[in-house]
Amino acid sequence: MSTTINVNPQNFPTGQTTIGPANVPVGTTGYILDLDVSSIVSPQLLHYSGEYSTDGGATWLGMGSADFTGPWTDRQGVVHNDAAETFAFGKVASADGSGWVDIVSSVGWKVRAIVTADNGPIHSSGGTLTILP
Amino acid sequence: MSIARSVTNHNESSASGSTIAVVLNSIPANSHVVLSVGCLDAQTISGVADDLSVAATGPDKEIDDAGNTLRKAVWHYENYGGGNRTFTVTFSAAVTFRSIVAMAYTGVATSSSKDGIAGQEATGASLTSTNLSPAPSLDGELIVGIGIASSGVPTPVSPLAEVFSNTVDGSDTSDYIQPTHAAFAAQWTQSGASDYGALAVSFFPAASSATVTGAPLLSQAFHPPRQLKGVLSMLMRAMADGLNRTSVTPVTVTIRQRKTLSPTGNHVGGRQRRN
Repeated sequence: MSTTINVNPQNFPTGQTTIGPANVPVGTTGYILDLDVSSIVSPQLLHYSGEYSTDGGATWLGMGSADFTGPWTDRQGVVHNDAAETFAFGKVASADGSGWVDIVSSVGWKVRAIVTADNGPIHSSGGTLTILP
Repeated sequence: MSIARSVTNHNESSASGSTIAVVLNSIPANSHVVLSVGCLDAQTISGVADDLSVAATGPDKEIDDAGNTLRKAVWHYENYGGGNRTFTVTFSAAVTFRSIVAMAYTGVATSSSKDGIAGQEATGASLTSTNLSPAPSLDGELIVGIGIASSGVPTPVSPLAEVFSNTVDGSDTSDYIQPTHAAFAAQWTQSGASDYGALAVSFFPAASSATVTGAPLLSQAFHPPRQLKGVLSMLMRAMADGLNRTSVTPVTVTIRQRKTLSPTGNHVGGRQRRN
């Protein structure tokens, strides 16, 4: 079962905005950040960066990043009103060597998302940060 | 020592730019770093280097989708020093839909690691790289695959397992440690038919045994010291044959006879492996 944290409507100013940190239930695999970007226009850009901490927030580790330009248009030229990115803790080889298993969270883990806006402010009607089971 | 993936990270962008970079933290020493990189087909991938200006080897394999929408390639570092490093892809000019997925593995051969490659551009709902050539020849090889489609989002077909599905360009980077060597084609599916490209690259594991061609077959228990001379002779021969993956820590040794086994056991040609 996933845990969803609502991200409030806001204007992302130029520079960084941190969403979270959020406590992570034990046994989860990462999260999806999904924000409304319907008002983003050229040359604006939203940069997502995912991070997690295994020590209660003292140190943060990267989980990946993604840029979405305005308007957010995919490779087929389709404009999207929201931009979602998955950030995972990763995978390790299974004990029996038959494949990979997800790295899952332990007690005290946290996640956060850093949203960086170029040429802001960029209005977003909100979104969700969904912890993945 | 079997292959294991240690750390991964990704960066992708729909914006125009001539480079894209990703940070990979806590890379174990002597790792094998594989980079899945790409961009819109309008430009080419010029190279990959780390923040110490050390260039990656590649492209091991590069491919477009059949509709020439996207371009993807695999580059790698072998016997990589480890630590916290930034890897940067440089493109021939500013281009959109840039991406890099970085993966560090332990247990991969530290030299001459690349084995086979495969790639295909076609149209359909089922993507296949076609079989790796040459086919994997050692147990436990690492296989990395990339699937791209002009409109769909490829999902890897087991036993290939997803490392990362790019949101921005819809591509998929997956891998597989093949327990027993055999012919292999990387495969994906997508919801509808579209132009696609699929590639696969295989890498040798860091071997813990020497292999000498020969069969069949006479197996018997190892009885030191009577056969020790024979085993050492076999290992010397393997090394002389240029088989450099000879880190041997046998516990039990199986000897497969190629010709005849002398009474003293010191004329041995066959396969030796750790059980």
